[in-house]
Amino acid sequence: MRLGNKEIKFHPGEAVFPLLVLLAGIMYIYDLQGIGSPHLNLLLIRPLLIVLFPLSLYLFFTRGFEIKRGTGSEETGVGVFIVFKEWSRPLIFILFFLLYVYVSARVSFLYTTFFFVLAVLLLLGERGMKQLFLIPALVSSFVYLVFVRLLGVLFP
Amino acid sequence: MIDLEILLSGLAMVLRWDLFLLMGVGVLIGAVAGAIPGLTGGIGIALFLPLTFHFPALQALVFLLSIYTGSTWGGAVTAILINTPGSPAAAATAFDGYPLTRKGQASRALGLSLSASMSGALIGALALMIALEPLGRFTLRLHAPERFLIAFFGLSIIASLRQKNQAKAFLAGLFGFLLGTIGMSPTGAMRGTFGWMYLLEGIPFIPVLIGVFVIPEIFKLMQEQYITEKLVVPNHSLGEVMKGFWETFRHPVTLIRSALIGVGVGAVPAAGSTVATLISYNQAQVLSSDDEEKFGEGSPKGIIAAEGANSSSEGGALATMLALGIPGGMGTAVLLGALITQGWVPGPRLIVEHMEVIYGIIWAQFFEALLLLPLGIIIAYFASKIIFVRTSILIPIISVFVMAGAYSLKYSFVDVYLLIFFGLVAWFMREYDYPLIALILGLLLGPMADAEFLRTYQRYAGDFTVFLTRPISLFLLLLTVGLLLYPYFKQLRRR
Repeated sequence: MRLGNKEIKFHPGEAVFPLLVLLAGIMYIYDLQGIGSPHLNLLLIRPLLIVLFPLSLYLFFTRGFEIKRGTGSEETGVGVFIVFKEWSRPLIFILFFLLYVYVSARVSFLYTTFFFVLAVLLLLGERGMKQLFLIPALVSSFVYLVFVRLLGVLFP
Repeated sequence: MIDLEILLSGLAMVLRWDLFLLMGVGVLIGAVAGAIPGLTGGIGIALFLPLTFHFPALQALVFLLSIYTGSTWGGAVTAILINTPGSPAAAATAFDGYPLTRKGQASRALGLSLSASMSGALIGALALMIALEPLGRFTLRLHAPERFLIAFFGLSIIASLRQKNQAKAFLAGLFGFLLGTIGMSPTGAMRGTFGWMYLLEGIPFIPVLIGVFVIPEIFKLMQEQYITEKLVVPNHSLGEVMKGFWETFRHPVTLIRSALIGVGVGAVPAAGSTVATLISYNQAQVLSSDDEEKFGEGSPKGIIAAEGANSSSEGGALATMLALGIPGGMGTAVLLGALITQGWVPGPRLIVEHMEVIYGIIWAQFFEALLLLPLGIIIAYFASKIIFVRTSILIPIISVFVMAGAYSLKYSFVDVYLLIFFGLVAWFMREYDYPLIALILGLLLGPMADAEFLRTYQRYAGDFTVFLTRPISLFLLLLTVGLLLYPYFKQLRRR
């Protein structure tokens, strides 16, 4: 974005954490509405929030935005797509992980483990048939032996 | 004063083959439990606690303590090899241990951690033997203002974490602090829970810790084929483990200082080994000369400081637990349960009534530390082979263990979702240079600082001059201010 002879560049990655802290602080305050004995229960929380808000705003604006003087390159919006391309593999992994937890809770941890390991191996580029079947089977068996048999953990 | 006759009869009590067998098995179980992310020594002890119900008191306590001793070092194995601390106390070990692994010196790092851990445990046991009675008397004098300042002292470490990005370090620390206050307040009010009972006791620490350390690491590993930048075969040997083992003794000042910090901080109720390792690591960093290998990039002193304090804190924590019945951390909390199960009442009377057995337990600690050497070398040697495994195979294995470990804490899948959430937050933090350890410190020490500050307010009717009028408080306050100002003083002196 351009403002006169200044160019303002937005760094979405830098803005994420201060924004998250800000959001968490607002939610926290919202939940504190009507709390009993605020002079006691918020004794240390108040000064904490007083420092937290300006600090997160400061970092949001100073790190999230970059102001450059003079002529700069045209804003194309391509940067955001590059960031998402870089994040695609971790994000797919997280989706697999969430699905793994969700299905484990409903079906069976051990069977789901087999398919989760298989899916992640494929995601990370393993193509050998031996690895693709042997590793999931070994991991599932090992988890069963250590957690279920040895430590007595009860899985669904 | 130590009664020599009771001390020797305590030694005679443990010189039995069945006890040595229990010690060996316990150290092995502990090392494995400590190495699995999510399974801390405390959990390991808790899992084997039912087994000891039928044991006599000495056998039961020696076995459980062996698990504790093994786990304090076990956490370092995964911290060094895959940057995944097996236990919270091993977090500081990863700072320098993992960079060494990436340089192809995993065996050296494991050897360093092993000898520092063994020495720390020996010094801790010695300190426990000498200081059990006087330490018990001293900790009785620590009240709310001192306990608050101890937490504050721990939090002040955040200031020295990032000299260039201090605002980011503070934001991360304050965010952790805020998260740490979620749950029931010391007066019984709910804060930041939105009425969700799951958060009644606060955000569970273990899943957050696993998520913060493991998930960003998994993402990082996704970009590489192997853990190490280059696979250096000659360095991966038993000889290298032994080389690292002896290297520790070339830094006696760091080793002894870290062990003493570990004993001192470990003795403070609720401070625990994690705080001890972080303080020790920070002190080693602050007091190091400029020409040395940089901390955070594979400094042997960093590993020694972290592991020396970690293992010696066990001695301090045991002193407080035995003398006052106050657990220093999760591990000692479970041990306390074991003591009570045996019909013992922890406190000053315990020392008087069961002095012989107490000394027997301390002697056992010496032997456990010595057993750590052969068993640790075997574990370290085989564990370091992990660097030859492709990351595409390691990632799913780590993920499954992380998931199983987090779930097994409370049989709750919510813990696993929490782990994933904090893992993503930590990923952003690491990508944009927010120190993760600041978040962890805030989360860990925040509740303690909050509760003790409130107690000080109530006890002294809002008069905060108490921090200046109580001698121990004043000492702790000056120490904290000194720690905060020292880096600036050092910078000024350099100019």
